[in-house]
Amino acid sequence: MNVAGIDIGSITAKAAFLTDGKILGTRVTFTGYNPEQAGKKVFEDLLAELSMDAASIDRVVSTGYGRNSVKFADKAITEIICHGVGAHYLSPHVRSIIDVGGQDSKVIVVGTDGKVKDFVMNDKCAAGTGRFLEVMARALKVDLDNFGAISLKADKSLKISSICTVFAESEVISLISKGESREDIIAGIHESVASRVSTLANRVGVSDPIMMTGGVAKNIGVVKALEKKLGMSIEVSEFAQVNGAIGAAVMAMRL
Amino acid sequence: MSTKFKDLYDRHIEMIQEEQRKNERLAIGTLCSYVPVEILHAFNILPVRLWGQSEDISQADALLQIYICPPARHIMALGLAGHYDFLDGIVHSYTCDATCGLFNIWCRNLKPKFSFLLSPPYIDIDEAIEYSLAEHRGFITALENFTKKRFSVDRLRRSINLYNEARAYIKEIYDVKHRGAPVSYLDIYYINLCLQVLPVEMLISLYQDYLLAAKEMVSKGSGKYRILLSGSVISDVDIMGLIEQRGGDIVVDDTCLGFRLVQDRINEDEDPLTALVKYYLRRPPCSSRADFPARKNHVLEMISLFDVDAVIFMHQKFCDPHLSDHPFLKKVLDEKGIPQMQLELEEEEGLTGQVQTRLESFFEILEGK
Repeated sequence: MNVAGIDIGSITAKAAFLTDGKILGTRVTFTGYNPEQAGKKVFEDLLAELSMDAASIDRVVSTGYGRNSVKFADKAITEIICHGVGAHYLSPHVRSIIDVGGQDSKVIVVGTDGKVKDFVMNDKCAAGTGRFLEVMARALKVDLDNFGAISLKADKSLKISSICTVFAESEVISLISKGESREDIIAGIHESVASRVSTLANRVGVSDPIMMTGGVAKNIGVVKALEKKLGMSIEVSEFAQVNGAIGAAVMAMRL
Repeated sequence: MSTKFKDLYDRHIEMIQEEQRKNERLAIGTLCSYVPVEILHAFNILPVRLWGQSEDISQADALLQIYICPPARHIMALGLAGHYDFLDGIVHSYTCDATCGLFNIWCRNLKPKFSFLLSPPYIDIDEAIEYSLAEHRGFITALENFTKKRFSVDRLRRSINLYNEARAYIKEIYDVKHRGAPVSYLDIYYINLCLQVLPVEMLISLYQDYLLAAKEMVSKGSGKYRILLSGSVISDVDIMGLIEQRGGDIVVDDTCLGFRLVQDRINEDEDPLTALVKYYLRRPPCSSRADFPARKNHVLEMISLFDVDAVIFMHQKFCDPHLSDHPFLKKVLDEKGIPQMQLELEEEEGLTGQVQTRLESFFEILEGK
């Protein structure tokens, strides 16, 4: 059986196909202003990449903030459930998932069966999300993809607000004008994100083994800063960014 | 859902103004559910609970910091926009600091003709009854001076009787719903709200009719998750609608508008004023009364009485009393294995994507996904 999971996030749309429970392929594209089109595009692009046609996909589940705009999906399921299921599929021993995406961060606690026991999401605020990192990357004129590697070369981590993205941006600009090194500033930015996310994690009662998912999991600097804050090691799968889509595909198998 | 009570609530301002004109009655705004409306009614005054959302909350921001709960800021913005200009005064029964601050700022800026602050006691001991009686007598004296009318014990007795009757009907509506009548919680919400903003004597027959109709409906049960809704000033009907749409059935509430207010009856066999202060002191408390054991017992009693499957806390951002209570209540529910979730609302923003995701996830968890 071929199934598909489509995860429409605020910044990227992801697709994952499974065949008989095995990952067939995944794809990521920018969501842009039209989540419906983004869902269609990422699905069709992955079909083309795998030389498949839509008729060969038996079931589709959509997730993410744009889940209800995926008209061709058989069912829409929230990203909380899909991230829990995806992480359990990739690494069944995982008990907590920290998902940091473009516009929100969430911490999900799962049982031994992968079912969600509890979860917590961030407030309506960009601090502690991928959007925060995007704003900072723009202020520092650094490609976001290089943020993680640059921060590992830091001598120290500079203190930056974890409460407000706008204040933090002006703090970063002040630090640049003071002549502080880019590496130390970026390390401080990562620590700021980690502070915010670890607060959520502690609120819900995070326990290890922990997996980090979402686009921000690709940033080694944030992962390291979070490990330090929580005093626990964090697993990051090669499929971290598409974990929600994989979870949606697993849910499609269960329909 | 019947729209009768929603329509009444939507028209309550014009209806009150008409009643003011037609029958030369005074209208006094009330802040919080602890204002003894029976006393106002005994003076032939129309009590109008200040409630609702302004179109532009920022009007209040010059007077109330944004870390004050959204309902207080909305009410202040409504006042500044002239929404309540028809009122003859305002009464607050001290519950939380934010509302007390709102009362004081309202008085300073909008200069009502009459204002009174009651301070209800916290602990149910004999001295508290004496103290509360003195407070209420002070309130009565202030009303006598303002209205130039003498207080009448008989009129208070009559007002208590009317409120008892109205509350008993509402309580029975919860009960009929519990027994399976397909009554939407949105109906109950507006039924409760009408008693806060419209003349009690107008509502009794409407409640009676609604109850009779509900009783005649085939009792089949909703087959949905039976939800207890807990929080303070909950007015976001879109969220209540989503809860029902997503598979929940709000069977009982623990809010400052609902079942807590109608659960008990004021004793009509003793001195009316004494019975009144006992009712307000002894009914299940709001979290601002700082009586966690009583809050815990009440919530657990409601869970048992209404066969509740899960609890949804809807908290206003910066609501200190409820946010202080919540960790303890959460712990109690976790220990008893009762699923619960918390929504913290900002400026009564309605169904944002985040709120929707949280609620849908909660129901997916209940469904065992």
